[in-house]
Amino acid sequence: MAVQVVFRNRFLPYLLVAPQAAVTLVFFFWPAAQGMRQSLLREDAFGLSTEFVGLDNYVEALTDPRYLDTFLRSVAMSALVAFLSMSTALLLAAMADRAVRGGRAYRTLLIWPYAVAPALAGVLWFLMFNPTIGVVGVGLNRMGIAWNPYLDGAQAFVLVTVAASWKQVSYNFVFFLAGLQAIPAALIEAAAIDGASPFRRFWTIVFPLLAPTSFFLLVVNVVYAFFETFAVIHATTQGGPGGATETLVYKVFNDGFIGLDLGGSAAQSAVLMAIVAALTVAQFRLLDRKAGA
Amino acid sequence: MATLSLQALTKRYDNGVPAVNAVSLDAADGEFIVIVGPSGCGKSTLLRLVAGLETVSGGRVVIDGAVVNDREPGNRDIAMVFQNYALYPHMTVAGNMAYGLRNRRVPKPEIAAKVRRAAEILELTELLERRPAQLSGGQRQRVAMGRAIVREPKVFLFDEPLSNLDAKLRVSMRVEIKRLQRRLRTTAVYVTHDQVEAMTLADRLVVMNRGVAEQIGPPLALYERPATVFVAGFIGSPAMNLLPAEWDGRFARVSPHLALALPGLGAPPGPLTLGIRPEHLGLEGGAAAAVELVEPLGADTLVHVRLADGPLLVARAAAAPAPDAPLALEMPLARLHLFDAAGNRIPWEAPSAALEARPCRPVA
Repeated sequence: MAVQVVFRNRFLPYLLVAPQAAVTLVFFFWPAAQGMRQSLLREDAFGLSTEFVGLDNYVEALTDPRYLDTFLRSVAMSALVAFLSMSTALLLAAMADRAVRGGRAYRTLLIWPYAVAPALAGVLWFLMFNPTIGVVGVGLNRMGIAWNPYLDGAQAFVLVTVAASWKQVSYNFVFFLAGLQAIPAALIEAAAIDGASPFRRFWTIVFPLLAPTSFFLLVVNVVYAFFETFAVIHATTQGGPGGATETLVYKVFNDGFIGLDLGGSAAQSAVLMAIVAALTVAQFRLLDRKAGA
Repeated sequence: MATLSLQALTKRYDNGVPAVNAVSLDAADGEFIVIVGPSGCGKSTLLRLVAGLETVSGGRVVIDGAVVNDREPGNRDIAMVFQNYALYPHMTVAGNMAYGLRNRRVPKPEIAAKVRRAAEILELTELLERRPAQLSGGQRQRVAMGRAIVREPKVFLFDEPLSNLDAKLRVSMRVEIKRLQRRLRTTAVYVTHDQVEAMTLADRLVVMNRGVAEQIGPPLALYERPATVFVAGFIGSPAMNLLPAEWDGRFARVSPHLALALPGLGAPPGPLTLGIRPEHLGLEGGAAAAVELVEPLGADTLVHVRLADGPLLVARAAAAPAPDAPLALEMPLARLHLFDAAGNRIPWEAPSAALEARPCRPVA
């Protein structure tokens, strides 16, 4: 039950909410509204003339085959990042949960990568996998594998995905570990007495009990992969080679700030905003239903 | 249907302190063994050793003639009821009960039949599709029992299964557990810190203290002839009165004003402990004492009395004495328990002649 507070002064509650409301208004609603307005306008490259074009920008963006490609690529990257980072994190968390000696140090070390900025994470991985100076990149080439993410789109895509996932593992790890530790030991013991093998215990007891955590992380990771991979991409491939690592967010930036098609870029932003809103609504709906059960 | 035998079972933790120290016990087929003791006495550890949730440091656990020390908990053919029930929250009541059978690849129709039968026994039939969160404490307790009986194990293990229930429910569940065990005739080991539960449920009682089994025997035998001071003080409520005394060969001196003649006691002079149960203390004739506190319980009354200059004792009386009235405390010698300095019972039968004499008298 939420605590009900009664204020004597009827303006005080509004005053207390005001700073948060102001921040949201200035930094979210205002730019969002401007973006929406922009998405209905077309401007020349020099910003000298502006004309109202209705939904033309949307039609143009959504019918562009390249936009569809980018959309599918983003979905693929999100799915891969979510799957890679979550499965790795779950594996590590399951092991950390069992670690008896040095468990604390192990956990601390695993959380560190989260402190690395996404751009740096990207640069780090590209440096390691650089075909001429990177430890791994050079090694791969010596082994006879033609490795060059600067030329090969698929390789660049893999590298961006791995770098983005690596950074996210820490975050997921913390949540999974907390989720695992919230499962009473007696449940696992009861399952052991009920004759379940460790593997079966994990899949029939632990994993279902982690479902709320997993779903929350899924949404967070998809949103992360959609938006925050921008820094990784910008610092490494800039969407290249040949658009192989261009995601929706990166295309918004590219079209708007490099291509100077502000209207089109704004329309794509509006689409992205709709996607995030849908994801968030879905998450709240599902979490509410869980809480209500 | 099986016997359970513990042979010098020992559990030592990394710091070397034995949590369970050489406990030996033979439970007959269908016997209800209750392990009782204060918290930290090792009783839960002992149960977990039997279950296989802790590794054995020494000795053997034998179920139905087979040493199971190195068997996984799932392969020991035991079932355990946990203190907090440990029901699987994401499964229905039926799912909880079926889980152990499914893991053992029992055919589905057979599982359904067994679950239905267990549910009937425990009156859970209407609740089979519910989840644990939708059940009351007593219902969860019954589901935990159902999960144990549905597998028809060789041994039931109970780890303080009633301690999370309110007092009224605890009494009715206690009766239900006893009835169920009688009906199924399954060997059971039951751990509790509640000595009333222990007394009422047990065929045989194991009193544990600091990892050692102080005494093993039928509840009334332990009540009537406690082997150690610890058992004497632990079994019975209110607890037995224990008076430190100095034995000089003729008298056991409790206080400067009180000494008891113990004819025929051959123990060497030295400190000893006199024990007498509250219901055996008489309030007429004997040593002078003063009433300190009266606790009426309805059926009888607990009277806290203090001997002149001496220790506080509790007597169980039919009626409350007048407050502040001088009182004479009587200790029938035949009811006296004697323990030596190490806390072990001194075998002693009061000679019949002594019983007729004033059993307890002040000396100058």
